[in-house]
Amino acid sequence: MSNDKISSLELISALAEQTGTTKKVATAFMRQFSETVEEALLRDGIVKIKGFGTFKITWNESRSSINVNTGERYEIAGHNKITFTPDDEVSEIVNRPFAHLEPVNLDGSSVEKTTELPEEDPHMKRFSEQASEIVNLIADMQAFKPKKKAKPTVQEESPKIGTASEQITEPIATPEPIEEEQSEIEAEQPQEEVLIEETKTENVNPEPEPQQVVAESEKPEAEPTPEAPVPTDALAVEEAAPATKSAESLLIERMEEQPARRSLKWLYISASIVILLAGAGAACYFCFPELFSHTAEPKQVVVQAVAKPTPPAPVAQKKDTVVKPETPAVQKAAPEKPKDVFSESRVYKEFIATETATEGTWLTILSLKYYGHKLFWVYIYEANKNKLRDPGVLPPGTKIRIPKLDPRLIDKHDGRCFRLASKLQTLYTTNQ
Amino acid sequence: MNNKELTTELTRILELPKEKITALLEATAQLMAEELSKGTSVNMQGFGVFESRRKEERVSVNPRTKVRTLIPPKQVLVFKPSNLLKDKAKQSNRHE
Repeated sequence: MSNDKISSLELISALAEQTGTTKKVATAFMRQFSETVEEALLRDGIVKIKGFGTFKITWNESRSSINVNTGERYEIAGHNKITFTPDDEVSEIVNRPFAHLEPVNLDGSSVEKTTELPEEDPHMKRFSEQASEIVNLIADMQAFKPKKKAKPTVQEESPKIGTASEQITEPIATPEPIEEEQSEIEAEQPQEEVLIEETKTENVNPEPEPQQVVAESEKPEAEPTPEAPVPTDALAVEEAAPATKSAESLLIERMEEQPARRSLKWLYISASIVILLAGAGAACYFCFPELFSHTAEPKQVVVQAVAKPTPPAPVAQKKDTVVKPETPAVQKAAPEKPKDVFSESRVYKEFIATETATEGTWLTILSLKYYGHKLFWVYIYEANKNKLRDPGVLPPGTKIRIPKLDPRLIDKHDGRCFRLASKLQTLYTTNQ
Repeated sequence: MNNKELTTELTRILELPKEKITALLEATAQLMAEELSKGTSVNMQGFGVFESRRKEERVSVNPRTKVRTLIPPKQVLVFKPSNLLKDKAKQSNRHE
């Protein structure tokens, strides 16, 4: 702002020029104007001038203050103060140099969330229906159990360990989509992977889990057996981990997208929840071995039966303690079904471009450039998760790889695309 | 006092047609605002100074959605009454 100052004289000459009056009249007007305003202000306490603003006298209450030099307290007496509030039109003219500037949203496209998602209400309505459905399913599965009770539990456990640990390895794989070796497993069980990916941030103890995972994944594991999923674990697990709720709800939302296959998927889902939680429980065991120490003897048996080095054994043993003993595994693995873009986890192997971040690069802008919409930034973020701590912060110089995406995933005319993306967005922006 | 009363009063004292007064008032506001938008302050002797102040850009956070928004800089009109007027206001004892 310049410090130029013009006096009323200059204003008067400009005024005379503009209105076509003599300077004398303009001068008289100005003087009278300020006098009248002053008078009226002191008399009425308020003067409103249309197209200019409002002068007002406001009362400032007395308050105590401290003299900064001497540290003494003193009282500022109450007094009247003149305030001026310009009218909107005047403020607009004054602000004209900056009028072209708009507020900028710094956190990506959160604003679009509200506008771009149709069918939000039916979504919520069906939510409770599905919740009750899952409850029924679990009840059914429990009713099933006693029939196959006869089998020795220990033997049953071993395949479970295999699958459970394999499931757990996947969280490692997903943040770093480059790891090709994992792809086979991922292809086989897309469902579980999604689940784990979604819940891993909410897990009770995410730290210990990966450690165990590393240990186990190094060994050649038993191939995933179809009988693997353990419904009984669901019981134990539901008490153990409150996180299940949110995992379930996420899944419910996700599942809703294909109502036809719903029930089939519920089996699948609950199976995956079970597996995940078994994994969590195992991690829990490693963290707090003293909780399970009273079951030291069974451990030996398991080791022999399974004929494996120690790490998997505690998993099995832990199950013995947590799971009710009379309930062995029952449940068919969900049959193979066509891949679904929305529930399937995303593995980024192909990249269509690489961008180097500069000052002012946002994932949303890259997303707009490559996918045609800002909301799909989440996939770029997923593909570059190992480099980016916070999706809102792109350190200049960072190489951002733009993954090739399934066109069905970024269909601008498909509400499901937006729903999934915004769900992920919420996840990434709140859990960071 | 509202705008109507002000114009009536000015018309009475200056003995000018009402339309003229309205036009003058509007022109005054217009001119002043334009000067101020250039960053020039307008001093009306014995009454006060109209200044424009620049408010710097800032980041505001919506407390509910936690969305950070960059608010652009802007220029606002500020009126600083003259000492004379300030004192008169202080002594006016308008406070009940």
